[in-house]
Amino acid sequence: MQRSPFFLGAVLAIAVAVVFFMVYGRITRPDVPLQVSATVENFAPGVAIGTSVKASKTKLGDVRWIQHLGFVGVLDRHDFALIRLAPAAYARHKVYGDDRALVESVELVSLTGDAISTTMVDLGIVFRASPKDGCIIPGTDDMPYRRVQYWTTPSDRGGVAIVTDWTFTPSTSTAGVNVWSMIAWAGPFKGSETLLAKFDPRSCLAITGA
Amino acid sequence: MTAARVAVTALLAISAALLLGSCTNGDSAATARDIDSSIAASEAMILSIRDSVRGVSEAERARRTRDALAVHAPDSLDACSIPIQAQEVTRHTTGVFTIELPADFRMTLDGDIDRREKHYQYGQYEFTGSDGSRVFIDAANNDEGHSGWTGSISSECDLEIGARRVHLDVANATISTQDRIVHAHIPLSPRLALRFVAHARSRQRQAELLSAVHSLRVRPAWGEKD
Repeated sequence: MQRSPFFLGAVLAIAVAVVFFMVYGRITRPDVPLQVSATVENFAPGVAIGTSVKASKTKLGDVRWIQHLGFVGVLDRHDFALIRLAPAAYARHKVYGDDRALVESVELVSLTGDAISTTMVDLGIVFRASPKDGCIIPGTDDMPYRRVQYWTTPSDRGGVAIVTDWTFTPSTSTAGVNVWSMIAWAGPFKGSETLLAKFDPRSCLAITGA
Repeated sequence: MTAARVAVTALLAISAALLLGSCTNGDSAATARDIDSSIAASEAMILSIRDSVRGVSEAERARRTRDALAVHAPDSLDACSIPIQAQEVTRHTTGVFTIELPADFRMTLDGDIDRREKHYQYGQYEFTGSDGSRVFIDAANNDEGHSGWTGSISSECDLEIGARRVHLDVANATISTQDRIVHAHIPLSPRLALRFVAHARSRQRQAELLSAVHSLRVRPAWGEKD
């Protein structure tokens, strides 16, 4: 039985349309999801994931290169005292920083505990979801277990995490000052590799039992 | 009919290729070792912030940062790389070699005075830096490229320095203190080689001494009897 030319034409048209929209989608899709880029822009104006470190670090003060970590500088914002711009791994491990590398993730460190709750609410609105829960296992006795509450986009193209202390240790007590971080990244969430910390997908409660 | 089938097949193939392309990540995967280094550096940074808030003493803060980075962040120097030279260097010229070392290095064992070359046809030299880092230069058998010193090798490289074939190692002698090794083995004769072993007290120093190896030139007098 011979198929009609109309059938073949329809198949071809559908295939062409599928390919067109796939290519168009890939070309026009931003590398950094809007939820992530907007969050970074809101808390660190002028800093952007996916652009060169050179472009972003002009907005920071006292920028220094830390091998394995990235560029660390001071942010003139009340909520966040310090910012880290992490380039891709190949650039992150160089002895000397290369500010032509692209920013892969941004960490904002805050000493203001009051800001956690409002930031959590903001992120809930931006991502339209409740955060997932995980835990950072301390690498040294000096560090506490830290809770990770994180959001990712529906297709896991980026996300934002809030990292707060879970356990109390005398060596990390900051006498009432709450040190916490917000980490934003582009690309799929890869746990430890994304957060640059020993991430465990279980909650800290499940790990520490307290 | 056949042409239509070919066209459909081609379009489906393109679609599959695009789908596969969207599944791969262009970034090269970071190694577990690299991630460990980043984790250690990240924790050191957070500790440093906490310490600054708590008013921990400068010495304690330096100790924590040093320990975190030294013990948990392995050597990441690439033996094939040529790190930037120390800001100030001094050229040392002996009877058998010349080398440029960081300016604070002083010769603490002179092979020319030692006169061991009378028996072994070479001298033993030592240079010591202001931080206790040391450089030893002497001779070794050609087949002893990895003996006569200890350390967990993190990177090796075979390259040419001054038209001579050189084997380079970057290593950690211990994980409890800062004792970072740069080792170079330069075969000079069918049986003998010049050996360069540096014990660096910091990673920065290790980079400077790896750079110094590239300035090492062996003079024709090496290996000649008195």
